[in-house]
Amino acid sequence: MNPPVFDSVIHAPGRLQICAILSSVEDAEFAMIRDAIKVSDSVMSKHLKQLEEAGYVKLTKAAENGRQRTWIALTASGRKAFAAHVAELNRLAALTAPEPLGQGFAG
Amino acid sequence: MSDNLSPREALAQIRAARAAAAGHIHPHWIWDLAMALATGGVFAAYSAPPPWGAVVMVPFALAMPLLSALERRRFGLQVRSFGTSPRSRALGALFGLVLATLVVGVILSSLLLDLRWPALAAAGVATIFTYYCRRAWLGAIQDDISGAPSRSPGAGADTVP
Repeated sequence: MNPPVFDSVIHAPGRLQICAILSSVEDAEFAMIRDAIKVSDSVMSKHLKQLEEAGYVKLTKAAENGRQRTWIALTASGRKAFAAHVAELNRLAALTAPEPLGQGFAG
Repeated sequence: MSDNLSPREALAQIRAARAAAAGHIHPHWIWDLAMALATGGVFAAYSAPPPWGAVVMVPFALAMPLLSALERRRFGLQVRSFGTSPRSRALGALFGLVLATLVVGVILSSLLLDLRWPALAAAGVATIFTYYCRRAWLGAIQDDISGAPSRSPGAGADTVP
């Protein structure tokens, strides 16, 4: 169980959604995530750059059928940071909840 | 979109993103059948007399990773092999156990008793079992990603309340 830690790099809506998707899979393709979170290529690239600079994601480029595809995966520190961030979100949400929320999101 | 998400809004966004990602997994019977036939084909090839068994086995054995790679490209994501809920883990373990039992049974019956028909029987069992187990496993993985508790009782433990 990760101690709750708020992470401002992850908390921005786009990056939060990118991390949410990546936390549940081994890796995912750029276009799939872009379509899932409904952002443009440039916005997606900007978010990925910030996550990459923080050491939270790893990008792998691969040529498939003459097209360049980018596959993205959370790094170990990215998984840890996201789990800690979600633990903190659950903790904060529980503070304002009228009743206990039960089992929280593990990230 | 505001950058100042409340904790509840943030948790809702995580839930929505995961549901969208789960929606990209489109199980299709033809893919499951191809994977099942590749698995069964390895056993069927083993029943052929040497050296043809080994020769025929190669394309079937190569077909499995190739199909996995094509499926990863089709979904746009690579699912986590062992899953995160008790259901997906149990299905993965069951699949491994059944196939390992078939492999050991076929090899022992061939080496000790010089029988070839068990390989053909194993091919039939492996094909049918792989088809249905894989379909159930993909459904469980989908629930793991989206956090849907309906089919995977344990999947809810890994989701936003």
